[in-house]
Amino acid sequence: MDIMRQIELREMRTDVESFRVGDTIKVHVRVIEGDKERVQIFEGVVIRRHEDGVRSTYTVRKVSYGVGVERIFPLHSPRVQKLEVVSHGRVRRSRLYFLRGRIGKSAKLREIDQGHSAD
Amino acid sequence: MHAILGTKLGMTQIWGPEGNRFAATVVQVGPCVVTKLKREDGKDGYNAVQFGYEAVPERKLSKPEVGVFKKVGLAPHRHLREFRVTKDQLAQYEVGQTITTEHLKVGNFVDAVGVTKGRGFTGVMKRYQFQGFSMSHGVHESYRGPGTGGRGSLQPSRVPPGSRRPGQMGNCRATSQTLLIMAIDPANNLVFLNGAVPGPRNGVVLLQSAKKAPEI
Repeated sequence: MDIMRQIELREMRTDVESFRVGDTIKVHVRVIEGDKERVQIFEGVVIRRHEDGVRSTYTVRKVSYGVGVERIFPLHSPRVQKLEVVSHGRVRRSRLYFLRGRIGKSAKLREIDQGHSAD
Repeated sequence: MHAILGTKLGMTQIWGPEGNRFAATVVQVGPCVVTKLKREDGKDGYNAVQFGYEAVPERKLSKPEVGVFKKVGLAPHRHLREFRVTKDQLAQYEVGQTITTEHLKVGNFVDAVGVTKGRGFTGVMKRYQFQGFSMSHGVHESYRGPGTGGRGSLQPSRVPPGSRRPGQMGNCRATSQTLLIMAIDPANNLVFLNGAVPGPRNGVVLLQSAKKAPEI
């Protein structure tokens, strides 16, 4: 399986910003419309990380015009131009599905001070 | 390109030019060595190219097998296959020639032939996707069975041939048709096919030109 590992490593990005579940992040996504390309920003809370080599993904949740929107991004997707961590949320579990049932203030996460003190 | 043998290394995903994900099977192909040309007008009565794959020490093969290679002065190989060609195509080959990834082209389609994973003697639900029976509503004992077959008395009082019944599943030859060659890594003899290929990892796979390749 050694060769398979090498292949997967080759397909993986090395410049992925580190972030954790509970962080609020901005995902800069390249959108191709016809022959034009622009960058769209998707900002929300990371509610899940799925770790599996090249196939790793993360789910970002945001509430847009009162509607909850979740998007699953491949961690190593070349379509993601940039990833910014806005703030770290203090969470005690790896899957934040409980946020789905919450709206308004109860859907907020307590923030951790900058500097990865919890890491 | 007509045919080449290889080993399935496993499946992964690779990124397309627009950032799309594609399922990929990685096959390590060749190098294969042409061991014999069979000719229509010769002893064999048909045109074919015979080739070997995976060099092994002589002691791994039986004496008749070794003889095939001794006769043409080549190193012994574990697997021997042949594929039919037309008379013109036969002229492109010669004994001792190696077949490598160079004979494949990105963008072409191939059929992959392998031996599927053996599943043993399986029931009808796994083997033929029968629905089985309700777990309640008075059903007893027979939850995964095949149901009735054959009927009685006049019509027809026998089981129609070819009826789907429990039995051996897998461990038989299977072909995945029309797989796109997405990428080739000549340095490591690797081919990336879009889709699944029959067989387990490290199983031997035969790649041949696709029978139903779409017109481009």
